[in-house]
Amino acid sequence: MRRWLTGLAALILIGTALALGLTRPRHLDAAAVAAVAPDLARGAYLFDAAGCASCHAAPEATGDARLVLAGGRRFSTTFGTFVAPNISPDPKAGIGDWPLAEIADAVMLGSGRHRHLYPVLPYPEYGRARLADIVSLAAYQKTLPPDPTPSQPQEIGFLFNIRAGLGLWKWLYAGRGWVLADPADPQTERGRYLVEALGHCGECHTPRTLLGGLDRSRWLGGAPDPSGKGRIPNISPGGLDWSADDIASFLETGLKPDFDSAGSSMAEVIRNTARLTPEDRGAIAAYLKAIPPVR
Amino acid sequence: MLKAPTLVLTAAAIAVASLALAQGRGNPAVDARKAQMHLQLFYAGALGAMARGKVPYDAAAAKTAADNLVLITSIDYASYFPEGTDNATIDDTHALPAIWQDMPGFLGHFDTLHSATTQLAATAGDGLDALKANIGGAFKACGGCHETYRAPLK
Repeated sequence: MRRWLTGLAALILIGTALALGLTRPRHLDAAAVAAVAPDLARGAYLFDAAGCASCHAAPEATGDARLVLAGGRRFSTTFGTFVAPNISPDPKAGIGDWPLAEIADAVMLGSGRHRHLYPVLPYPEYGRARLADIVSLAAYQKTLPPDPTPSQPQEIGFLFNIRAGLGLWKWLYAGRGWVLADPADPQTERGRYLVEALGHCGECHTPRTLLGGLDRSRWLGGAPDPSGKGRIPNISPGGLDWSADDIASFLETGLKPDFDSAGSSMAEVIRNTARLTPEDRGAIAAYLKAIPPVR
Repeated sequence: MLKAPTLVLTAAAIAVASLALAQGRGNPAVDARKAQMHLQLFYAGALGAMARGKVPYDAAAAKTAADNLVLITSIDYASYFPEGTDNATIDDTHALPAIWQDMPGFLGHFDTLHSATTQLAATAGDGLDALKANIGGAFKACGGCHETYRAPLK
């Protein structure tokens, strides 16, 4: 009996330690972040490639207003409604007082100030980006206009609102490697970087597991629309029969091969991809032709 | 008192609608607006293919396509969008409930489209450069509405 109790206590201790270890927000190596010389022009380009404004600009913002990251857009999911926070450089309402290293922690690891961030910020993808790119992006973000609009609280259901649980979620779904393990050529590899790291296309186009992680076995194979009605299209070769040129043209103009226009949230995405270089749009197309077909 | 032609048209519409429902087909208003979108896409696609160099520019064909777009976009759209035909209520449509939350704003996009196609038709037969110069405005009108009011297509 005594031995059994000791075993149980040990198990609880180990479990607690493990849980604490897993549930503590991780941080990037401060020296590595400090060693980066931020490139603002690069950061401005990455801002489009990573689609920052699509979520963090105010609802309905167009043109230069997309550079004001006031937040407020709402994303309804099965876990509740997420509200994009103000990440403008305003020191009170935004994140103006965050050093570059803290912004990089948030973007790449989902570690905000002393707490986990919800993966509605696509850090499982951004975490695959090069550190120098994310630090340049963070430095560019600091040059954008500040906005005093306060961030709204998240409207998340019971259990999912316990942020310590996100540590376990990250252990399952974040920090994972590339989905396309062996890109055949440099163009496909560049496309992989744009799609799997910066563009975070999989966040909408890949179906999710019960716990809300992306199902890598059905990568970019289409998914239910988060609104509950309709589906986000399958853009793997199993669902998209467009030529690489057709895909690149679509990302530039928002027009499909039959000249129907992109609708709903994809129209917002085209605002970003239209600003990329033709080479980068071609790389995305090459990548989409190279991934395994999902039927 | 309805005017005679209106009365006849209304009776015909009801008859067609009843027939359609009896045969288990889709909602006639939904069918009608889809038909209109298909017609628009047919002519816009022909012009887009020329502008993108997928088919050679043909002045007469371009002018005809653009003129047809002007005609099609002058049809009154409001009657295609009765209450209860959004994608939250019925299947087989991508029309978002947002349409009925701002019907004047929604219909305003069709005015924009009609203006854009009118401008396009004015010069569509005057050469490839003229076509390229004005076709963007028409496509922008399509996209402007689809962004807000159309659910993702599979």
